[in-house]
Amino acid sequence: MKSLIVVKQAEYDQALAGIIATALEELGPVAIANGDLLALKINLCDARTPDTGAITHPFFLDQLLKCLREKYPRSEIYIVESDGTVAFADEFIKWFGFLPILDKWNAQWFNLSKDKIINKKINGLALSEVPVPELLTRAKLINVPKLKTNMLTQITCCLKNLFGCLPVIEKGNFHSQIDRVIADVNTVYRPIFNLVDGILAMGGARGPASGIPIRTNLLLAGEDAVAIDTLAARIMGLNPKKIKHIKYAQKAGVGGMEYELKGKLGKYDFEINKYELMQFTLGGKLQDALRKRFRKTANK
Amino acid sequence: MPYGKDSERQQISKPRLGIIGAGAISRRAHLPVYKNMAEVEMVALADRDEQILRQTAEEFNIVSRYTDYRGLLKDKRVDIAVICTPTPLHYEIIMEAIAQGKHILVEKPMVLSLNEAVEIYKKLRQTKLKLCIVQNHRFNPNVLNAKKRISEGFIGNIVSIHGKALSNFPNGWTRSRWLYHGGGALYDFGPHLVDIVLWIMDQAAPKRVSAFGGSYSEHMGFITQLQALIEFSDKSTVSLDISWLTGSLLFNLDIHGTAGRIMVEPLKNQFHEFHGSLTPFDEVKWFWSKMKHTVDGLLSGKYFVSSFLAYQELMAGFLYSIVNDTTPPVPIKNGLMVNLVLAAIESSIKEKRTIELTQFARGHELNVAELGL
Repeated sequence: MKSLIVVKQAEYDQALAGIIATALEELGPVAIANGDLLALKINLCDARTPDTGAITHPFFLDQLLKCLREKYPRSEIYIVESDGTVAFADEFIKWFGFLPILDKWNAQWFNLSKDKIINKKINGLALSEVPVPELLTRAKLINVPKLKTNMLTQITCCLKNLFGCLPVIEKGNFHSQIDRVIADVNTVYRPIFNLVDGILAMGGARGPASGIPIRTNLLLAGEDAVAIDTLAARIMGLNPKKIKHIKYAQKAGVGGMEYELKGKLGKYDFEINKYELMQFTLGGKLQDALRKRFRKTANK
Repeated sequence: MPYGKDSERQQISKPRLGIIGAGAISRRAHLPVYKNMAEVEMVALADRDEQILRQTAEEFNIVSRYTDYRGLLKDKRVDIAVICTPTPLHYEIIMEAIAQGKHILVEKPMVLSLNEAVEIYKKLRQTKLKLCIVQNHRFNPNVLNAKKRISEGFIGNIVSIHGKALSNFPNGWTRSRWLYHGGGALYDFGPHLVDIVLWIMDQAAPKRVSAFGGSYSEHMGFITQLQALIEFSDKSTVSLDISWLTGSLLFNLDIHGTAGRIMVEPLKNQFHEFHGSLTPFDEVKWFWSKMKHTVDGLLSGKYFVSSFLAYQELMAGFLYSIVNDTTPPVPIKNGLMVNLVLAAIESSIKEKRTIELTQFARGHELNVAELGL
């Protein structure tokens, strides 16, 4: 069955909350009741300012919270992210101006890396169990990814954003089998919907942190992370069937690559030099080998 | 070899090192080099993190381990304390090392406060101990070449230097939060730029400093970007552009003289010298030099880590100065001047005014004549 993806054009302005509300209405009934505990997984993957397109734009969160507060005034809302190899979540939420927004809409910051962990056994492609922050066992998860290229996984959107829920600091340890791990964690972290902040996206071959800001003015909403990522890959000019974590996630039953679009897409140039991208997909191993070789050289 | 020929080095007895701090800079830069230097012996390692201490000591085969640096400094076998801890800890460790009669090799910057630098300077003067600051970029071949060419007059008198240290936040290098103190980006690559500039200018004394910049947001509390203008008594000027906010990484110095120009990129081992207007020949030479560096670096495995290789030269020079009672390669006076300039830049940003260095130094109880101000 094809899932629905709502596409909207938007800017980071005061009209955005209304556009988000319309997008969610068009998506159909959302399984949230007033008073439900909500966890919004944003993207704070690295120390980059919002104008780079690398992290969730604070104004996007402001407008999303405005929309949610109007619909669910009694809900407890948590904004969540975890620490990573280069991510200091507690610092970034402060540095890049999110805290006043959280105060404004009575939402709370929550670092998933500091939560109690419940290990969930799975029969995954790479993992046999997934650590789950306790909050995510109680809260309804809303996935708020960016629309970006990624030197390791080609794209980062809904599926990869939920990899960021892993309460593991050394996420780099998963990089050797990243595509399978992304699929595995998505069988456990299940959002009730995904809302992609693609207004200021990121292209080039140096994502997810050092790519080229691309203004698409796109907002994507949908329940199926696999379907949205399939669309995201096409928007970026990439073939989704060649993106491993999308394929693995589909195989793992996370979602399907078929979708029905509501709304119009334009033409976008994500300025991806495929040879440069190949440098990273193939070059990661080469770089590791060279680093090891240096250690030997330095020790001589 | 700027400090001692091989034959002279053989006269050096085998000083024993006690390394304090087993974090990234220690593991990546210091220990791999010392491990294979015949002139030194690593006898002790200290770190308050027991797991990192154990892992690092095992990797580099260091038997004596301390979770308190004071224990290491009391270890009579240690001749030289190598301080690789976060900078906020440098002051107390240096003062304790002096009290325990150890020579000191300390990572840059020496300290974060000018007052602490002055205290160390005064304390050290009462002893015969040597202190050397790790300004490793001085020892990169391209920077050494620039110094040599400028000293020999090949670009005439220096008119201006433009130094850039532009990067993202240093979270990829270390997970340590201590880097995000008030000085922020200024004290990250700033000490390298200021040190190279002063060294290339033969430690000429700056006269005044004007700086602009600050923090990206009010929620950060540390300097994220700045530009500083430094004027010298001969009217030559230095501009420094330092940031943690830029999307493209750059660390270079563009040195303009009355007879030519030299551009160096310490991290990429790039050296380019220009005279007159640029010609196609210059462009081809430049391109060829970059290609050669990239190919050589990739084949040798040194491309990503070339700056660490300078540590061996620095340590060899320091050992030579200890054994032969000469001035260390980067003596405390140089470190003090760097701290003075950094503090002046910070004050200029905070107070939004030009800082006169002589007056500023006097305000910190420094003997301006001694510093050549």
